[in-house]
Amino acid sequence: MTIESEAIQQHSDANGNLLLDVRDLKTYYPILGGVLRRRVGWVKAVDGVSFSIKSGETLGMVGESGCGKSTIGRTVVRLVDATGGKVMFEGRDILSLRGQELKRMRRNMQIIFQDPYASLNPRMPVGDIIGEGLMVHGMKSRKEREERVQYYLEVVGLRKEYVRRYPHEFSGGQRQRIGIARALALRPKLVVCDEPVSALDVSIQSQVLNLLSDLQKEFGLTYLFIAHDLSVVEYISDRVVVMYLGKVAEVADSERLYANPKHPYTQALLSAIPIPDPTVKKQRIVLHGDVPSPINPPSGCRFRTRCWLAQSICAEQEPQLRQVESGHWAACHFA
Amino acid sequence: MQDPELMETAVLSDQEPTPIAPSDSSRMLMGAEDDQLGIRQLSQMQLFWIRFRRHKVALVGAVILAFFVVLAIIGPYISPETYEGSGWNPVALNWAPQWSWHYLMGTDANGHSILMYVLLGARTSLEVGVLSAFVATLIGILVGAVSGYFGGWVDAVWMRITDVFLTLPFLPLVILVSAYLGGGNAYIIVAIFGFLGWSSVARLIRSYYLTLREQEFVDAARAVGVSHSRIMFRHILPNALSPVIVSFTLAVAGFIVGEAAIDFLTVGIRPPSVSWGIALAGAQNNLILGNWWWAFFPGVCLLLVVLAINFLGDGLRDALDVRAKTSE
Amino acid sequence: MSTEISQHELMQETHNGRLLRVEGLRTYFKTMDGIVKAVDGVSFDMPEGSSLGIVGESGCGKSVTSLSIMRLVERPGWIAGGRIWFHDKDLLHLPEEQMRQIRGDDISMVFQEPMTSLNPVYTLGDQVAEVVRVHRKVSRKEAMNRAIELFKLVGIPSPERRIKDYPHNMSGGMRQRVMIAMALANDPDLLILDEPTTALDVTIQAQILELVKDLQQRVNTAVMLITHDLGVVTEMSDRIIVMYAGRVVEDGDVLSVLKDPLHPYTKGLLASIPSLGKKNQRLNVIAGAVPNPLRMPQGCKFAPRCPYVMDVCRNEEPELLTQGEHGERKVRCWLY
Repeated sequence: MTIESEAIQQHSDANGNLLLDVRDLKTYYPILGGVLRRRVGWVKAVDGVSFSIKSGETLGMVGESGCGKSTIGRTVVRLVDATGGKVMFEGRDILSLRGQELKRMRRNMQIIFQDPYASLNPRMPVGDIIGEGLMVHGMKSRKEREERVQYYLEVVGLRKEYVRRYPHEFSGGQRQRIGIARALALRPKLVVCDEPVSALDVSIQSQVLNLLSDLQKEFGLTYLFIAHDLSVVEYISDRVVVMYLGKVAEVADSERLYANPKHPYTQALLSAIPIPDPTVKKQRIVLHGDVPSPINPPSGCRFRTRCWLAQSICAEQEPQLRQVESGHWAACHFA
Repeated sequence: MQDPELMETAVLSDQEPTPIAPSDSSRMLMGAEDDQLGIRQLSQMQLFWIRFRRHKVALVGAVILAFFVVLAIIGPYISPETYEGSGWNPVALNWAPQWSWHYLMGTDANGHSILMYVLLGARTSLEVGVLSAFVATLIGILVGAVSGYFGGWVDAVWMRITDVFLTLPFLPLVILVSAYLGGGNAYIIVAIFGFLGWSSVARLIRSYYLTLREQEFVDAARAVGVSHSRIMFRHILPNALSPVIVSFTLAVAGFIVGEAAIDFLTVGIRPPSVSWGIALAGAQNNLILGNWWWAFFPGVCLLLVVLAINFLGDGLRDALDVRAKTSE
Repeated sequence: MSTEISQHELMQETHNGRLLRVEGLRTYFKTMDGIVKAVDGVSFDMPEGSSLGIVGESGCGKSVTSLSIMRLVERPGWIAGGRIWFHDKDLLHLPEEQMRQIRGDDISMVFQEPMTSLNPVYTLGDQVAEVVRVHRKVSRKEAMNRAIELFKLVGIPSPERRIKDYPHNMSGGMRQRVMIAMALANDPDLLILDEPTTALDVTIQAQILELVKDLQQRVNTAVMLITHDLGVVTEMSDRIIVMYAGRVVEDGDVLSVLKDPLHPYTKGLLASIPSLGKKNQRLNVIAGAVPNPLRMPQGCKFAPRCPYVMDVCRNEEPELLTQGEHGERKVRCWLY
């Protein structure tokens, strides 16, 4: 176990019971090459990430494309296989679960996807989409299932008469509600929200965000909320993890993170958001260059190639995630 | 449906919004969103029909095919004779077509009515074509689905097997197997065609599965705990149904031609079963005598059926093309 | 150099400073279920060298408006009415041949998808040089030099090497820079940016926005920015047009529209954005969704979602009327 995970765990233990505890998680994708499709390298999408979520909490996770945030979400709900590390759900390592055990565990963790079009099977009526989970987990009576589906349709703000309709009849916002109902129907404890509002229009976004926070109260849900939009994450999250190139850059309570970001990457990210308020004049930090490839990340600190503070130490030593203030961790030599 | 005042306070108030219970806010949203859904969009079936109707050639194909299907069903009841019952008929050898039901299309060298060949052959052709295509498609779906869904070494193994079947010289092999098994019976032909002809369907289905398995709705089903076989056949297959239908249709045409070909080479169906291919085979030595009708009527029927099915297949392909966007 | 500038200024005088005027533009699409009026009576002006932002949600007609200006609307769509004055030419009545000369020369456009807008089999240099040579009689070599110059202008490092690269060697942000370089190749009078940063990451978006701001000052080009992001408009544009259901609902300078929005839709849009520091408040919501374009409400198109709706709103559609003492703002609402 690394120092960082220990620190985070201690912090979390002191503040309530942990629902999810991720330790030193690594998820690599093989790169296949040549005629024989042999592995010629790894994409290190997630490379040693630790964090934990308390019961009832919303943990936000932000970062740009390629930072590994979606892979983390998918690894946690076991859609992608981890390469190393541990994912403890209520104290139990779920990465080793197989077969029936895994299937039972899936009831506890559900996921809401980004794309409201791709995530609903176009050839299935809404009732089957939402009710299928109930069926595979043992609710065999069709009538009982339909009643339950109708209940959840109403919970997410749709009419119960919609059970027999097909996804193409719904708007993007409505489809996202169907996706939420599907996740909710199994009464999970943890819901991974993978960019749930990024594909929606502004006015629909706020409807779905409100719904998500209502549901959290109503059903006592715990969220891992993944997004690239910092304002959305700040709005919904209690704590926020900032990711960069497969590593955690900074973790803090969301107020603290936004008021006083410690990691230069977080600072740049925050300053890059365009704010629709002409009276606010702010100093923008424009980062140079692109995010490096996760196949061959920079030595030492991964952010150093774009960082204006970078010194020689940043190339030599990888900064550990350390507590810079109480409840505020950053992985930077100068934080 | 909803109280407009409630909506107003909830929508754009300057003061701290009052917390709304989920059920309330849901009800509020529901009413408003209903305006959107009040209009039922065209169903998949309607869209299909609109697109298909535009394809005039396919419509003609469908009509011709329907005609032959009716023929195949009622053929045995309206046929002027049966093969067994007719035997050698010395009165009517090589008669040209004339105005009587029995001799409408003339007779062959044994005095059999060509109309009988046409009517009874329609059933044989369609039966062999449809059943063979059915068997081949079924095997193709199974192999393609397993291959495409699981990928990796499963895929590698099955695709090599598929390649072998794809590169086998189809007709010579069919002739060989048919000769070995003794041929004769339509069901033997169906079995041979089905077990040798699935490879192209398998490839097609596999390519669809490779893309569809990456779709998020598949991930969603896995996250819920749905089993592999259910995902393969309940989730993915309905989305790959359009290419299945099209390739099935075209396979029917292919197998009808194949059946006629092996009958013509006299290694397929044998009398007393009747087929267009048998009629054509019989005609080949006699054409020189000028009795064109023997080959003409069964030949035209074969041509019409195969063309009709191909036209229909084209129309289906256009109408079912899932990638062609609708107005939504 | 100085004489050139004064000449340019003189030309501005003669055109009365007006570059583009769109009058009652209507662009319709024929679908199987009926006719969709994607743009239905859009009017606005753009002075030379100005910057205009057009915002709205998907389906509001903002992109179709820009395509109509370029006359790039493809079947089943067509421009059903209105006029588009560019300088003193009516673009909608020009022969296609002349329109082609205007496209990429006087007016150019950058699209949202930098992946699909570049041809994967040609080098970046070839593609930029091609745009130059379509409109200028210059040699291949000169065109290549111009490409290098343009690459420098849009901040692509080591341009001499980069012009030999293919699109797949470039990241999304770099591709978008190439697209901007291409659009600027012939010093256009009007540059249309259609969601130029939507497909990009936040930090890359910041780079592109800084670049465009910088270019706007350096080359005297009018910029029309089309986006769904009110934040982006705030930073980039002087004037803003808010579109809803194929119509302009509000038009004014960015400062006053965002500080004091008049139209209920603009108000709702601004209130529903979760911005930093609004934590733990319930988000304000515009109830419902954009109306189906085939079944538009009879009166004001926003009436079914509007919290201030009155009887007149449901029956009669309001005009886009001028507001304020100096007539600097316009709004389409019965409240005013």
